[in-house]
Amino acid sequence: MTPSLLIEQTLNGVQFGIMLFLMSAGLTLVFGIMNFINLAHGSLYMIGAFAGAATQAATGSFALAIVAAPIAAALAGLVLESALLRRFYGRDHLDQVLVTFGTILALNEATRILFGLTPLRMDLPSALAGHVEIIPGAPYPTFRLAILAVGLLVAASLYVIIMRTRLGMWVRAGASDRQIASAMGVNVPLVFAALFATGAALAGLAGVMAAPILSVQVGMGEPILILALVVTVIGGIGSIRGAFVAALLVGVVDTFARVLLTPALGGMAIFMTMAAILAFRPKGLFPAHG
Amino acid sequence: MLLDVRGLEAGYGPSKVLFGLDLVIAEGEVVTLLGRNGMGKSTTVKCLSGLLRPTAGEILFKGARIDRAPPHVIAHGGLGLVPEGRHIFANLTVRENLLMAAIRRGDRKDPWTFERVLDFFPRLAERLGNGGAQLSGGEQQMLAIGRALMTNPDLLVLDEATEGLAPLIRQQIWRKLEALKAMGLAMIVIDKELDALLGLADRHYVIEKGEIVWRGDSAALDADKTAQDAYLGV
Repeated sequence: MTPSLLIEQTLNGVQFGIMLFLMSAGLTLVFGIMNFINLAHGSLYMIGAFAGAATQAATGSFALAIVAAPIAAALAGLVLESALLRRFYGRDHLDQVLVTFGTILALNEATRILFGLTPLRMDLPSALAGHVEIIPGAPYPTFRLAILAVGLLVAASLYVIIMRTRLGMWVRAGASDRQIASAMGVNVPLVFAALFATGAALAGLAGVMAAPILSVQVGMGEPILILALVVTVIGGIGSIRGAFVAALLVGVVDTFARVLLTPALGGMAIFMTMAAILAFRPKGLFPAHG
Repeated sequence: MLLDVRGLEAGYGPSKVLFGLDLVIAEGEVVTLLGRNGMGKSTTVKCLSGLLRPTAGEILFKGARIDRAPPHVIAHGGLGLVPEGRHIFANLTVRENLLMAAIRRGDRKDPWTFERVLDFFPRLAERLGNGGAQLSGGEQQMLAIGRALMTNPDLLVLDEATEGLAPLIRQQIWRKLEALKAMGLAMIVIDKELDALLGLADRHYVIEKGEIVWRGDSAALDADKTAQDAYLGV
């Protein structure tokens, strides 16, 4: 592998990892605090991508699309949480998996009815459509660098909120012991609704950022949901720091495995990584639950 | 009355634990809940703090019904909990464990603040940056009490606050509870160390199979060896 290819693939891996982090952040906190498995999180990613593509098609503005996507996903998340998912918090995981799997099917079908089966596309503005030469002879797409920058900015903001603010203390206390956090005065349902909406917005942001690279189509949320679940488990359920480290790890391992190994083996690499990590750290890298 | 519990019934699914429990606590009063394991002491605590919804009966705290209120509303109303097993947030530092629970109340002349809790438990001041999981059992207990004080309670409920601690540490905890009593803080204390409880508390309730079967002050309980033998197994 040449140095320029190594740099390019590392950047691809980190950029993919950042996208996975945006997807996993909400998933891990919702799972950690409410002990709720939300398989429909991938649908919020899809809603973000469709909202972005539809906004760009209607207004011609890429910037508006980037703003509209997380707002649409957050609103969809709030409606979903308050109208349906909230009723399943006290139920066992099988019930939660069934209802959120049903939600995926319903949202996929609704999206198909609204937008049809032909994939939508999002065009990049000229400022982001070019390449940047990071080292001589190794051009790298500007948009992928922009994703990296936005993702790192969001990750840093999220880290500051979770690790340095009182709201973040409540979130982490809730992830550690929801009942006792509640008995110490934390309004866990309110914190959770805010968290759910934030997680949905981040998934929507990931969706719209992926839209110009992948095609915007029904069912696009499912493959990335599987990877986000792997990230959540490797990082330690409920841990935002764990999700960040695990997302970068999974992004880089997946990218290099697909370049260096056969397609079949490449696809297995992250699951083998997960098995190896869980063998030594059964609760993941940074478990939130003591 | 600060707390008035009337005909409380509660349980877990089909198994009923409390069968019409009554108890009252006046402001500044310290009472104990005594009884053998499995008689309903911790279930009573869960009902008081909103962690378990009673199936019948009323809980009036400062004159308002709280038996249907969620835990965070009860905490903001002034009922502080030191839970059995301490339940320190292991992924938060000592500083964060205290600050997350801070509730400000305008009506307090001398409110509990972060600094005041550290003055009360100087040992915690030395461990501020440590994670909850890195503390000794005694330090965790101080933190659990300090965390509950940060909510500025009118009534502090302590469930097995000295359980599993070394004798010297237990003495320290009892001295701190004496100090809190001297400050006028009302408390419900659940513990197995009868001698210490007789010295600390004003009155005692004995629970047997989910009902109050004995009530009286420390002198009466100390003198009633029959009740001690029958209900407390001492």
